Amino acid sequence: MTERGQTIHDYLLGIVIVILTVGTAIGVLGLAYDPFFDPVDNEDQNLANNIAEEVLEMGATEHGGQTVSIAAINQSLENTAADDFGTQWRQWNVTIETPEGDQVTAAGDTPEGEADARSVRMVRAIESDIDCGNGCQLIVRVW
Amino acid sequence: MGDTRGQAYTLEGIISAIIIASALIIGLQAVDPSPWTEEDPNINPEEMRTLVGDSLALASEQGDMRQAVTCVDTDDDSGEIDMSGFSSDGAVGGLLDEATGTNNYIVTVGYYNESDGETQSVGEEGVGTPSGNSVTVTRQIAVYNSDWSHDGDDCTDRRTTLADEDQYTISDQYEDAELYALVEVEVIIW
Repeated sequence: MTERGQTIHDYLLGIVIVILTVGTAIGVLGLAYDPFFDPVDNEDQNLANNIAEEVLEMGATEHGGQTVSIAAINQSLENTAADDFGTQWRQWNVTIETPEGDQVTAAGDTPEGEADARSVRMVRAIESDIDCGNGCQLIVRVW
Repeated sequence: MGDTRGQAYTLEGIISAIIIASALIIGLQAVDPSPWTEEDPNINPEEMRTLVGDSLALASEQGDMRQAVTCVDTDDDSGEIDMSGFSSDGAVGGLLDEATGTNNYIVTVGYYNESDGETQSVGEEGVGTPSGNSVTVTRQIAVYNSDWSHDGDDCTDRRTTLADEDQYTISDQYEDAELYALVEVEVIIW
């Protein structure tokens, strides 16, 4: 074998491979932690759950916890300020939808599509003109 | 390099390989790859627990739960109740499908047997095997001697009162009281 030292081409090839490998490893390292971080803040989630409970209580009827009066909820939500829900630094939205997706009632700020904490409860309306079929959904969003 | 030490070098190589392989195996065993290998879990456990709990509560409030658990299987002496109320076409099953958006769940109905102090299963509905992150929600309902038993495709046809019903697989657990039995409905969803 003829004697041949390391030429500049060998060095370039080697160093490019090393840089590519290190760059890829560092880039992928960030992805490795993704499953461990929740995009939704825990505090927001608790707030959303609490607001959902409060709205259920606002509309409570004698038929049980999941059967609510939409009129009572509307009335109470109109009179609700942000401090009542403890959301001075947050935006919130309360929506009740039928299984077909038709909105029965809504209150609060308009959701902007960011990652928001959501609390979903199943309810039935006591008003006969609202057809909840297999259950309407009370959706509370906090962001 | 002497030429009489070949075996020592070989041994050295083998032992190093064993040490490195053991270190790799122990290290890899300590890592739990499930956050990376599991598909995006299609359920958020807490949200699903709330939704299923609400659906069962709604079914109870509407009376559908009571109808579904007192559904008599008239075809054979299977020792089970008719679980049509919990299928996707049934009242309770329909509520669960609507709330959860999935039919990956198993519903088990059982009753508390006074004589041996254990819960006996009298019906199961649903297909599939629960995966690792499954959620279990239980609801109890008390049935009374004066409650009606049901049959039919959707368990809504009234038959007779439980006190007079002889084809209902759950026997009267409290003969001296109006209470007939304590029925438990368990939903496992994943």
